[in-house]
Amino acid sequence: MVDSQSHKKYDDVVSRRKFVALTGVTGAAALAGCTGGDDEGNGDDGNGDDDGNGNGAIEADGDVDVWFETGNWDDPTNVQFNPFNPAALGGQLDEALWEEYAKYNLEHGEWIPYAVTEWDIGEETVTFEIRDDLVWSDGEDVTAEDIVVGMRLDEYQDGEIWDFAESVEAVDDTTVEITLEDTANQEVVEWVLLTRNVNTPEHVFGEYLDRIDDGEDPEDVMGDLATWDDREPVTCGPFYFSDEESTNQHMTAPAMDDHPDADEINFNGYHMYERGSNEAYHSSLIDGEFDGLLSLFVSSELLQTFPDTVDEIQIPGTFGAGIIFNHDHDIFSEREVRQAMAFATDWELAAQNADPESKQVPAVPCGITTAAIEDYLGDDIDDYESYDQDQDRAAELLEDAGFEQDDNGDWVDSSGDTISATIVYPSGWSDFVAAAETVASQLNEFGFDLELEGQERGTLEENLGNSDFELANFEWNEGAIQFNHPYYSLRHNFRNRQLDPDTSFFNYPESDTIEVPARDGDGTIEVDVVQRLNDLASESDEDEANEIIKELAWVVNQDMPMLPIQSKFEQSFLSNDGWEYPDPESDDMQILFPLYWLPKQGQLKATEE
Amino acid sequence: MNWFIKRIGQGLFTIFAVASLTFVLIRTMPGSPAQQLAADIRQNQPSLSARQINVMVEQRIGVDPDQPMHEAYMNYMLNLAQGNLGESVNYQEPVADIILRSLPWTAFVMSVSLLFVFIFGIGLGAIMAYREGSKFDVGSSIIAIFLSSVPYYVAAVVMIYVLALELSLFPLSGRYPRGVEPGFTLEFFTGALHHAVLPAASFIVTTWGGFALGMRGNSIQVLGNDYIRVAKLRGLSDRRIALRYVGRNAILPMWTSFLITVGFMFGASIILEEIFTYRGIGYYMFDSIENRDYPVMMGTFLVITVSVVIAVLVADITYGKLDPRVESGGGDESY
Amino acid sequence: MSPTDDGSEKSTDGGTGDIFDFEATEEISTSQRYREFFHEAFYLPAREAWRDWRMKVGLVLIFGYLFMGLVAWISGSNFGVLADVTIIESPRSNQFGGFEFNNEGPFQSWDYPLGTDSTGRDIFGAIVYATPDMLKMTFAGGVYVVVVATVVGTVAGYKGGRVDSVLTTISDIVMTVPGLPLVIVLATMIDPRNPWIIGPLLVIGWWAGLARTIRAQVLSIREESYVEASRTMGISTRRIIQKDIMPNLMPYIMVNFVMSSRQVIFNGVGLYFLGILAHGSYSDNWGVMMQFAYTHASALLIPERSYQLLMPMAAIVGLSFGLILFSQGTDRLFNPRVRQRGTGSTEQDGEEDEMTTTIT
Repeated sequence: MVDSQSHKKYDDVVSRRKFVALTGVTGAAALAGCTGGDDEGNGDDGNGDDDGNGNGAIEADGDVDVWFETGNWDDPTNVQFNPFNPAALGGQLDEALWEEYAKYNLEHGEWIPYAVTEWDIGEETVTFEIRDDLVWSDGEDVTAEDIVVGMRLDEYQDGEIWDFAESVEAVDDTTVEITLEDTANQEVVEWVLLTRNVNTPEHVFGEYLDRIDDGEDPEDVMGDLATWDDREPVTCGPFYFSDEESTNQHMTAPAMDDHPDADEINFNGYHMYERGSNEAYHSSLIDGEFDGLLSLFVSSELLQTFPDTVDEIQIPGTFGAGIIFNHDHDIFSEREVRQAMAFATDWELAAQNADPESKQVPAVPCGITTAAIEDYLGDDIDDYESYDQDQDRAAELLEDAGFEQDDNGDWVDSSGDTISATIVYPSGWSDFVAAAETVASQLNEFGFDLELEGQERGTLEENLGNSDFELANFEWNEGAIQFNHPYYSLRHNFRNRQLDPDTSFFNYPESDTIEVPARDGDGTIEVDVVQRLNDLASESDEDEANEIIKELAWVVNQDMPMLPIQSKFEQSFLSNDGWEYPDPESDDMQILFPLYWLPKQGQLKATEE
Repeated sequence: MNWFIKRIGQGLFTIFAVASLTFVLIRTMPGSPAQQLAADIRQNQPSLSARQINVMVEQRIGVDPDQPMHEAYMNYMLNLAQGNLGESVNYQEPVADIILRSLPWTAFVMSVSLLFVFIFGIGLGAIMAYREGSKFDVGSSIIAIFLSSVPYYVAAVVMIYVLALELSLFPLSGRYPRGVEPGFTLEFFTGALHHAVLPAASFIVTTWGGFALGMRGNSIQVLGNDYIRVAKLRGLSDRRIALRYVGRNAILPMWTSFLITVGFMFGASIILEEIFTYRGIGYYMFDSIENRDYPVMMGTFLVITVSVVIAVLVADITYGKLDPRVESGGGDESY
Repeated sequence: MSPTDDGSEKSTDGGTGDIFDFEATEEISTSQRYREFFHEAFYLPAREAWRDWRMKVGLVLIFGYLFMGLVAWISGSNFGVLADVTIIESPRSNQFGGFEFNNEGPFQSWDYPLGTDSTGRDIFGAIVYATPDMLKMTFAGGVYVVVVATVVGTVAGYKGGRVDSVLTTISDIVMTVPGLPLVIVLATMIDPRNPWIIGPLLVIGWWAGLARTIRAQVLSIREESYVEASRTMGISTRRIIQKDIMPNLMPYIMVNFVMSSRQVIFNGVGLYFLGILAHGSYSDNWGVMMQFAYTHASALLIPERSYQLLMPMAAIVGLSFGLILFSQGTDRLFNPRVRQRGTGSTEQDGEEDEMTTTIT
């Protein structure tokens, strides 16, 4: 460790140089931010000593001269912010740089208007109002035209909104109107619309749209757009990205003074460091190098080694490890076998092996996210099968399917072959690995002959995408926030397009109707699931929509297209050492992600020690 | 001189052969940059739906339609001949830039490691030989053998545990302290050294033993030779005998292997830099393999090959110079 | 990246000639010759080597691992009678009951002497079950290096001329190709699961160094008078290589076999640890156990769990320690000076080979 005196001198030099580079951009805040940043750098190179959180000086305007230090998954030298370019997209910083239309409180189950102040979803049109005081970081006003440009470009990237929209136009400076193709389910449209960000200034992206409107081949234009790395994004959130102040080690996002809510933010901004592995992020939190982290899997035992200053915030996630069957497989295409596998295994134990605190088992597997099951099924939840471990029931089902148990306890078919298959899983994902191992162990005990095969995530997706697998331990829903809504999670079960744009990668039959026992126990019903999904998307009546959800959830529950063996909680972290925020248990924290959302509400403040 | 030209020609041919071989190998690897990128985004960018990610990735990567292998090969080799390594698919910047900013770091750690391996290995080996049979000799031999049986990455994990996490003496990862700007400052240099200690130590600790045992064996053999006895009879000082005769003749046979260690270290750097998140050339090579970033894979592979070719060449040439017994023409027997 | 055996020439020159000097001149029956060959080439040296403590310890360790492999093979086998014999249970999640048996520390119960991992698997069992594949891999890698090197080296050295220069050039190129990067690319490309394939793959270029040494040896032995004599007597090339040349090369072959085996362990475990070699379950390889401990159990950050990382690491170090001791011990066999003095404290070529191969 170098003594602090030499550091001070060094800081002076850097500050002065940076000040020269930055004046004219943001003025005083940038200067403050700059010196603050270098102070931080002083003692901290992973030694776990104090990182200067507490020693922020109070400035004239009441701000504290301190940066919020956090992590980021992307290489800071490489990260870029063009939302149409998927590579090295600035990930978590999105939430700080752009304004989201609205936020969903998972605890209350309701939307909090933000950049969009009002919206109205009608039979034929959707209209919404944009907050009128937002400005882009280069001084231009945010207008409805910016929104329209973004949505229209999105059409060429198959954006979800175009499942419903026919056209979009700006009515006036702050009002946008979307014309719908058909009547639409209000909730679904809300999820698609309100999870968008205001991130496409017309004076930056408009030229691409103009080129398409001028008759250029959209593929060429979008190719150009998708390969453009934007290191100097024009943003509208309360923070902006500063390429000059970012280093090889961290990205820097200083607070933006022109933002209408700038007064709510009393710290300099964010510094985001990349770490090489989960283990390194863990130790940065333990050592107090980070003031918080967006999301990270931390097992409960490991959490106990964290200092008291670090608060964990658990927010229900949309998915977790599941067993995916290849429905073209001779054995796993049989419903009895799938049900038997559900009954033969103890999902609670699998969740405990993965991590008892941050994993939970759905009350009834039904294609709805674990947190939302009760909201949508209500009292009818008792009708649904819970698949608690019951090996007798599993044995009966297998016998119904024509299998019998031989002398060794193995289940064999009529020609004496065991039920053998390979379960592939993403090898780097430790919580998935534990779930896969547990389920495989239990099924092998029960008389199956299963082998595990870990695959690199990219290879795994390639194999799954080509339907080249028997069983997979893979996420049973997508992680995007709209997959909290049953329409998306059910669609994920019945009409999956996650890995292949044209077919379900696990070959769930889409052309046939599915026959399942009726929910009231009287005979059977036939459901055309694809048709019913379309009905759900266009059903504008809420009660009707809920009935469809219950029906489809019932089909999932009976037919088991996949086994959703566990759901994860997003684990978000904040440090109360130098920071103030609401009680971690409170409902205000149930909004993804507290780290970036709270400052926008004036609920995350640096304390003035 | 003729031999010299032959060796250089062989070196160039080796580079050509390696370039061709790796080109074919890399193109036949399963998985494509697009799939890796999509998988990566699905992990890091949870706000996008899978369907949209697929379209975006296609638009980004799908600009260059698949060339037939032989055409791609011709293009690559022509570019290579002009010193153009191509552009990274993942980083969208010239491969040469990536190599330029990572190679110095690897070279830095490697030189530090090599220096210490040499000092410890040769020094301890010589002392062990002089005190053959003593407790020091036996003890050091056992330690040397034991440490040689520890893989360098196991040493790395143990050191992370003890020195970085438990005692907090050294940083866990990175190349230099945060907040310090790279430049010719003492602060930067000491910071960089501080960060290089664990990666280098992982290598030194597990490698010096082999050199020490080799040095010990060589020295004992040299000590038994007649000319040493003659020198002693001639009344030459011990110091002079030690340096002039024993040291030199014992080190000589190890010279080639010492330089060839360079090649091995590049290999080890892949695993070590990954463990320490040390952004050297090994780190980017691993990264490019994971992302199927073909140009970066090719580039890093070639740079490592060229380094090894040069190291072997230097070894051969200097070996002839250092050891008067070896005629330059017989240099290729020095392996 | 590949083994180099500089200085090896001098140490074998005249080194082992004494054993074989008499053999070439006599006509003996085949079986007698083989018996004698066995006696001279294996029995005597083995007796001699056993006097060295390193050889003893090395062999004990190696046989210990072979025994572990045997136990695992018998326990896991579905072969006739063996199907019913299970000495150690195959490790699986929660094998001792529920959740409360997860993360049990070592030396607490004979059921799980080395403790259990974070999903309740027996760590000792997993180490044992990983042994057979590890040994297969190790053996396959060693055999591959030795066989390819011997064939290339002897043919190049004996035939000379164009064959020699082609083979030598190829060896030179292979020696220069960066070893581990190539292995990683190949491992990703082939995605091997079979230990008999993984082993050779992990040391794919290692034969080149040994081949060059062997070639140099063959060149010098060729000039020896007894080989010259055999040739003038019209004995076939194959016989000469087999009878006169091969025995002289045994020291190199032995040492390189051991050293490339050790390299298989190092590279193999490393690539499993990093997840480059695909694996199925916990007990597939010690490297997989390390990876699980490192990522899933956070064994580095939770001190009480560090044993989950240390145990497989000890297994790796133990095996390679055994192999190195063994190779160090063999120098008694091959080094005349050591044998003369009989003190066992002097080493030459064994160590040199050790030196040159350790670094690679």
